[in-house]
Amino acid sequence: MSKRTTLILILGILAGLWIGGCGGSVPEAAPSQDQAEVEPTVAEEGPTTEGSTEENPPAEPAYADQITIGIGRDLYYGGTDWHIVHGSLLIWEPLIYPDENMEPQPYLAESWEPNQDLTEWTFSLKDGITFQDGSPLTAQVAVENLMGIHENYTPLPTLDRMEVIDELTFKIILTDPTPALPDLLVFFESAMLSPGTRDQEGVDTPIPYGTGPYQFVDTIDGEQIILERNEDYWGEPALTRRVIYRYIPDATARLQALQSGEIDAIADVGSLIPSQGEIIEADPDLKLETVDVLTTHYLFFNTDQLPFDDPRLRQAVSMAIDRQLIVDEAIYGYGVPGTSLITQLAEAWVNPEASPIYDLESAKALAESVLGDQRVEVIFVLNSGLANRWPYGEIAQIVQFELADLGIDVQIQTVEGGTWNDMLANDQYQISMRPYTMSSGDPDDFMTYWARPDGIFNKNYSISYQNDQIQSLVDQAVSEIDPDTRKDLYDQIQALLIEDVPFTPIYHEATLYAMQKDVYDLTLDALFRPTLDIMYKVVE
Amino acid sequence: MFILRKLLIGLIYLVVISLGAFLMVRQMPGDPALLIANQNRESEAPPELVEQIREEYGFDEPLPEQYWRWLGRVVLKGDLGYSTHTQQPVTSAVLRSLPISLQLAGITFGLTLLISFPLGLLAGVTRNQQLDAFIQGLAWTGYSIPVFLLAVVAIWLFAVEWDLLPAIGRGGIRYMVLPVAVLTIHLSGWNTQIIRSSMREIAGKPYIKVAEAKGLKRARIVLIHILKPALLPIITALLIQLGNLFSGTFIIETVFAWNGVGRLLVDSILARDFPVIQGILLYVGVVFALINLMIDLLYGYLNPAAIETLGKGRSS
Repeated sequence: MSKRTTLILILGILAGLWIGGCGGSVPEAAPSQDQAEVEPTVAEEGPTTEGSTEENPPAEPAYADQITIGIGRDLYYGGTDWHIVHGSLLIWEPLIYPDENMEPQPYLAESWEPNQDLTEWTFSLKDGITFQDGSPLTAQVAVENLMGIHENYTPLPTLDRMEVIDELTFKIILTDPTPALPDLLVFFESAMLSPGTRDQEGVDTPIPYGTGPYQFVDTIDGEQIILERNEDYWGEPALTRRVIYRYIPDATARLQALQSGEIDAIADVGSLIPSQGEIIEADPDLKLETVDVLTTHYLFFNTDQLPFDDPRLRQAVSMAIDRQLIVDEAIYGYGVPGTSLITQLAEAWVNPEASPIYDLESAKALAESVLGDQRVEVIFVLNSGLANRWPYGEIAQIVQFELADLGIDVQIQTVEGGTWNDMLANDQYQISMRPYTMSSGDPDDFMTYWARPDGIFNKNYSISYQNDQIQSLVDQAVSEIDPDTRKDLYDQIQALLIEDVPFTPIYHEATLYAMQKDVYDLTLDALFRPTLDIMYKVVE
Repeated sequence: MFILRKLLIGLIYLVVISLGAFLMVRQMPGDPALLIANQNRESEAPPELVEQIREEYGFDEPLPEQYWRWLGRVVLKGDLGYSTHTQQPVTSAVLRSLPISLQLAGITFGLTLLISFPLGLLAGVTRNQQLDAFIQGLAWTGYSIPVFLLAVVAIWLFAVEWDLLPAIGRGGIRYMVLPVAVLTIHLSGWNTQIIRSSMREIAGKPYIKVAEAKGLKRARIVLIHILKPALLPIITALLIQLGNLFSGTFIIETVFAWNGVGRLLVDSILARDFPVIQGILLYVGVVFALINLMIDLLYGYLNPAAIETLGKGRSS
């Protein structure tokens, strides 16, 4: 082969790679903030600051057309997920949503009525609600959505069948009394999407058609989601015309994007890490907010393996952990020490008597009664995915330090999510940690998943906690009709769990979120759902 | 014949890569069905759903069967399958991320050459020790600062403190400045060192001393007698770097929120999105097969004797 031919070949390959690099069809980015933020216009209906806890905006302000929110995860899930998008985008809405006391309240549902023994629940829908594709929300559509969730997302354990009664009424028929049914249908569990949403087989980016104040415009894979106000919304229309969610995976870059004004807010669970709180508080252009959420972080044990097969040693560990210290040092005070077994927000169900206590001397005595003069080595395994979102590494180090006094030498291992699941499933650990978010104020799902021998967490994580009394109490509580008796049953369960300690709460989470000074009325609730519909940004 | 043989080897290499990629991702710890079922959930997926996913994706079938089905689809239909995470075709996902990485790689590589070649050449042939030390200092500084740190400091200075450039995202030339600059500074340091050492090595050979003693012009000595033989290792190193760049730059893509191939790969690994992981690994394999081919061709061009040696080596 001649030199010339070789040279042409080489240049050809290089040119191909180069053209691919420079001339490829880059997906059209959404307008940058500079481009997309149209000239400030006065909102058609001026927002009020009623209910806002923030500083008042200027007397005669102009309002921005667009607000950009930075987050640390992609909220567009795509076609594999039943909901397609996260509920925080306010594209779809649920039939039921909890109020600030975690009591389930009608949202798209108008009301519900159970029969005497709580085995048949009749739901009525609000009239005149349409999806963003123009189709109406009817009882038939609601039943199809609920059945889809039952089959593809979370099964309703006692479901027998659903029946459409008329255009706006349907019935859920259950095999057993289910007093917590409205709680089991909160938020994601009763999300309403139009039938048209499901007719997009084979589409790369299916569009979710919900009933919410914002509709989906576009997503740039893994980078941003663009939403626009639903002008035909059944409630009060949103104040800001366009909302852009930008997925910024790195926590430092996310904060810097806020500091530079590239984004207007960071508002999602885990999107701001506690150590960033003081940086924001020191920045005069930013506002920091916190909200107590339904997430509790638990430490759990492998209870059928040495040394934690002895409940006294588990109790000793629980008593040796200074939860206040963890909250102060590891999460910079942004949280509540885990002094109740379930989140303190589920106030109605918390048994105040069943509270882990910090008592190092008693812990040492208990540990000595089990271990004598021996020291034991245990593996505390952490999921790196979780440790990136929460300061589990720091918490594990504090626990390691505290348990050393009991004669327990903790070896911390941080592994990737898949390995973590495998290690837990195969009994290759003694202690681990994970968060749990209650889907409503009712402890039904928590107790079923964690405390029953066949509960998903109890089984999948080899916690292997077996207590026949608890199993019987959980079974009774799940279908107990009388609220007072039910509360009493859950009180007993909590007391037993605090004594047996198969798992123990470390802290209840407070989520941090932040925004520019000129953004108002953006808040998150206990389920991290933002008030996109009433937030607004003032432009000078 | 040489090229045909190289192409054939490249093809075998791709089949091996595909098998390696397949086995590697399937041997990763963790139950893929469980990980897929639990994505986007705060709570744990019910066991029935996990089993449904296992069946749906064929994870319950024997590995060889899964591999042959996948390879058959790739070879016969050019179909890389569907993402288990988004249900989009893998080809679409990769093709969407690819231009982002290629754009970053192409521009960075070009700029890197513009900076590191003159600096490396100068440091390689200068007799001024202070100048050499200065260039080396620059080069090591650029290379030794971790990319992540450099990126964060650059964003802090240029976006937060001075408000000159956007902090993150894509959208135009202004958005490219920081990621390209950070990566260019980092890689130029390394390249300058490679070029300098190769030049120094050749410059120390006895025949260069002879050329100098004969009174040949300095420029001729540098360009013909030093640079040409030094080019072989330089080009090899640079092309491998180009291959790495084309395979995505995870840290830069993560910090600047660019959804390129590097980030797609890491996200897919964490989500056990097997079809996407396999698709990207296959793409990386193709890139490196091409790079290898280019290196061989260049060796042939710059040193024709090498072809003969390589050819003999392979056929013996």
